[in-house]
Amino acid sequence: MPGQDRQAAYLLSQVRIVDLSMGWSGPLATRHFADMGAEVIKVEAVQYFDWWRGWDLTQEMIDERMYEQSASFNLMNRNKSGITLDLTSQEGVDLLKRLVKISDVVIENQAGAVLPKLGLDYPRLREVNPRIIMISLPAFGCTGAWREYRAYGSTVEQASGLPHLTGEPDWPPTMHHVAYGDAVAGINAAAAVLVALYHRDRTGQGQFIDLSQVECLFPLAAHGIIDQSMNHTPPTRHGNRHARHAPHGVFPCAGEDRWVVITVTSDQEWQALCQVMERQDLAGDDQFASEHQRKAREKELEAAIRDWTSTREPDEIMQALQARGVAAASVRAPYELLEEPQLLERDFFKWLDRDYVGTQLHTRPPFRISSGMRDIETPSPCLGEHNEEVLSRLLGLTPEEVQKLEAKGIIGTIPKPSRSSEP
Amino acid sequence: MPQQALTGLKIVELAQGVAAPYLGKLFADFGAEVIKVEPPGVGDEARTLPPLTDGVDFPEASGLFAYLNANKKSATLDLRQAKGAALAERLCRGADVVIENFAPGALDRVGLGFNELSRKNPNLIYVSLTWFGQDGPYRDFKGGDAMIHALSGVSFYIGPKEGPPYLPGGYQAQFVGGVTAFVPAMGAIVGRKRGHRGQHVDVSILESNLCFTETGISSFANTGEPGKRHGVNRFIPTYPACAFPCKGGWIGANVLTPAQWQGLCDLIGLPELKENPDYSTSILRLEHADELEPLLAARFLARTAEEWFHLAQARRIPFSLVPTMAELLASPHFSERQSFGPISHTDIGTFQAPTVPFKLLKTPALCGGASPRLGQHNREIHEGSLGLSEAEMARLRDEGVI
Repeated sequence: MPGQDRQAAYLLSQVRIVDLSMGWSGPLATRHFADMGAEVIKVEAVQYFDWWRGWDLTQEMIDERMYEQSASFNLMNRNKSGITLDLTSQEGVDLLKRLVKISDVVIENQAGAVLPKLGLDYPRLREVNPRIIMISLPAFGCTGAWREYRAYGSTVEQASGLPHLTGEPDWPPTMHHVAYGDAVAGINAAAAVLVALYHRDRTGQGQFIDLSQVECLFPLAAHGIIDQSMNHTPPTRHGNRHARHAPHGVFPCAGEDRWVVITVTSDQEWQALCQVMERQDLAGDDQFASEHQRKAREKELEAAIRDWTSTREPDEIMQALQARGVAAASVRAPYELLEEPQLLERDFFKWLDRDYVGTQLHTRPPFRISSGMRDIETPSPCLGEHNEEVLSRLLGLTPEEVQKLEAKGIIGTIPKPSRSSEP
Repeated sequence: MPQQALTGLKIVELAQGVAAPYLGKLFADFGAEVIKVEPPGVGDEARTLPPLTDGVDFPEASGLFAYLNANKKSATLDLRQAKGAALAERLCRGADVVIENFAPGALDRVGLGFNELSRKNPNLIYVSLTWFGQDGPYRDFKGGDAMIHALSGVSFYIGPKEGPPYLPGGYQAQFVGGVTAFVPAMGAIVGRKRGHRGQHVDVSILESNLCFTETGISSFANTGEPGKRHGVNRFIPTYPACAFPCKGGWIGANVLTPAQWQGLCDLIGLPELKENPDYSTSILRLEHADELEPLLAARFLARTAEEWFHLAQARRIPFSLVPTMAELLASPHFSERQSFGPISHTDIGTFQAPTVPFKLLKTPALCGGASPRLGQHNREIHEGSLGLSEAEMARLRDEGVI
């Protein structure tokens, strides 16, 4: 069970986080902390559980424990403890404040007005624990005219301007399929808290962190933003091509919906590509010798490459070209990644039993550290799973007191949705 | 300038491109001293990457480079020569963090690998940030943002139904890798303050970008249902979640719950759509998106994007403006928040670029900064930090080491 027998061997063993966040961004941030050994206490309520467990669930779905079976929730919340507290009750708020008093970090991503209304905003939590680090991650930030505006991942992506930088020049602003905003905000939030933690370790000072999810995407749009500001012209979209290099694109392969990316950034790579395609005629053609020439006749070039790729497997092409120093990669569908050799060889996946699911897939962190990391040890908590453990170990409550809280509905393990959880 | 959060930390950046220099930038913007070691003559390859300034010659023309390397010191050293590598090794002796993105094993061969450096500096945190990580069958593959977008599964669902899949533009995969690497790097620094020693941190840009597709992989593992490409601006789990042209600008319309759908129908004056069972759930709307789109598009032309944005938000429907880069830079909301700051460079001049996207209220990051010309801090580093004499520096210059 996380929290017990915590070895000082973990990098962040002595760090305790009260996690009021829900959905994707905040829970991803605290997952990185949990994987580095911090104690993360996820706080939900039986009246208001994490919307990633499911939203608009019917009573029948609740009876079937659907809220324990969400793959995304279970993926994001491993290595954490889970408790429930009704924060609309004074007793719930008092218990949360007692937890904050003995913790290092509070993270939240509720809509702007929620925490102040509950009496749990930073000024009040700082009174309880002046060393606390608190981070909020609203879409548009904690200041400015739009601070209370609501957003999904797609809203965040739109607001960042990124859709003007993807796709063909004549397309409408083009969205990514996956919601970029949430994941990027989560990683930035983890980074932010670590900087504040380092500062506190040196000075004893806690602080508040204002993170805007939209702003987290601006660096990803840096090429467009800088082009506009520096050259005073709107950036051009190039589809799958490149401003200068050719060939550069996504080519069809044998089979249905199979594709390979091939990019050539030097004359040497162009020669190597021709060798692998066994097109001596192209290799010797002076009209393709320089990048400038290749760019001018890109269409023609692409047709020649398509002829070659369309009868071959993407992996065969990737291997053959990479062996000759040409950048190429198979286009994977996410569901194919379970068999991706590079990920399997690096032990990227781990399966772990989880109540109400059977075995649950996890991805390991995208980083390895020589020592001090915690492996994926415990699955995501069931609703209120660690109520008794956390309240007795950390706050010294007796079993009778815990029972009383349960009888009053302040804690619990079965949802009683009085307010529907809304994404 | 009050003391910043990372003041006093010393970082040596043996890295080029976008991902690893962005990691170095995060340190620099919070006050760490970042010494960037570049090859003499040409410098970091990012000095050739667009956006470029007209009328400025390489190696000083790239605005991207200037953004990524503001607030750092640039010193040249040829690491392929034994003398250059030996000097770099001396720089790393006093460093808290070394950032590198050479091909796996390349720095081991010149005495700048983790094992070698940590023998003399046991508290050193050594961050290797590469396309595919330090091991595995692709470790020596050529990378690039396009390769990562392809292999991570990000591209597969973008684009027309019939294909091809589309690659996100710019350097997005690398920026994700850079900020991801900052997490274990800072984790190791915090851990060191609490009794841990130095670490080798191995970060894969491919795995970093799996943050976008891991939920898809995990859902597939549970349900066995493969996803598919639904077309440009069509994706699970809902419609609309895309941009429509307005009387002025583009509005991003996003609707997921039944309440939001009904709110949208009222907002744009099509209340009859609320009763249509074909549009009653998010998935059904996605299935009928082709017939729904012209109905919605016609209404959105009636007002400006700015009007729709505030009207929808007043009804708690999560709309957004979809700003062009020019509109973004002129946005009062983001100006007030200093989301962009001035980057200055001797040859390029001054332009605006994104600031660090998290605001620590007591210890804020720098807002913009000055970016070094190639070798601008040679004297300070070669003479000051490494203690070379005039004669030694002259000899090393002749040999092309500095």
